[in-house]
Amino acid sequence: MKKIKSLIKLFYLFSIMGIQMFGNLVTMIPIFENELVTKRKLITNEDVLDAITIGRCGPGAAIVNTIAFIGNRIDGFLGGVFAVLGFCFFPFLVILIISYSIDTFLNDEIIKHFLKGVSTCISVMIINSMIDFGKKTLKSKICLLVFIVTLLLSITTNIPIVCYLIICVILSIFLKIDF
Amino acid sequence: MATYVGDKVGGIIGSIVATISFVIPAIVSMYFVYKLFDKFKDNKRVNKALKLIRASTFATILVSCFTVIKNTVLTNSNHLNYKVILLAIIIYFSMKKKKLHPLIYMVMSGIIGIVFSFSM
Repeated sequence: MKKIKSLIKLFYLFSIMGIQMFGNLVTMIPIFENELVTKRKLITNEDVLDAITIGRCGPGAAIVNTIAFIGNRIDGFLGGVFAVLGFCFFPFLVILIISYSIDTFLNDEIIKHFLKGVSTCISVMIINSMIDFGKKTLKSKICLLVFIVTLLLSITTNIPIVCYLIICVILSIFLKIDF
Repeated sequence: MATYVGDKVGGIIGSIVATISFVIPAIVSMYFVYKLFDKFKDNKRVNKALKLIRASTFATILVSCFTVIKNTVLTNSNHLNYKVILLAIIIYFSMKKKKLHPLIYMVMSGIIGIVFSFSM
């Protein structure tokens, strides 16, 4: 009985987050941070970052993978199931309703203004989250170096994300320094 | 997207089926990946690698963030959208002062966007 209650709570929690989804995985980060890390202390910032890393590499949509991973982290397999279903619940209903006129919906001027306003708010929230993440992840000189190199490489080249992960793994094997 | 296609093909049931089939591989694969992840959670070497990986992922996410912010701040003709910047400053300081639920901020920003015609 307790298990079912906690699963329903998880469903509800992720459905609230699903309402706040406005496109990118990146735009979800401040929402994860706010609801899961700051408010309820279910997971840590590092967990969110790990979930995003693995979610992007896995098959299918990065957002759904990330949610599944976080749900697993919180409450096992069923946690993953309920988290994903909860997250998709409201977007599902919304898409169902507007699918009948989706072309006119997307091109509507008012909707464009609304989304631009929401984007502004999300951009500010993203900046805050990035500052928090930066404080958590860039704690040693080597991490800072990896960060800068990855930043430069990802701006200038089209190297797939998996390569950065492989390089990090190789680096960590060969670096005898403790960091 | 899965919902939309499912609806076109088979009505409400179709959209439910399509959405669920879309999420099933994610749920299943992430379950196994998480189990693997959990096994090595206390391994010192893995933690070392994870610290570097987090720094690297942070960099790639930051690049995506800049794209999002750039698209928000620029107008359709690639000029700076001053309304967006002004609203962003206002939101930043009001978020620091008063901790309301993010949804409230988002909806209010959306309404301000409508009132002041943000999409230029």
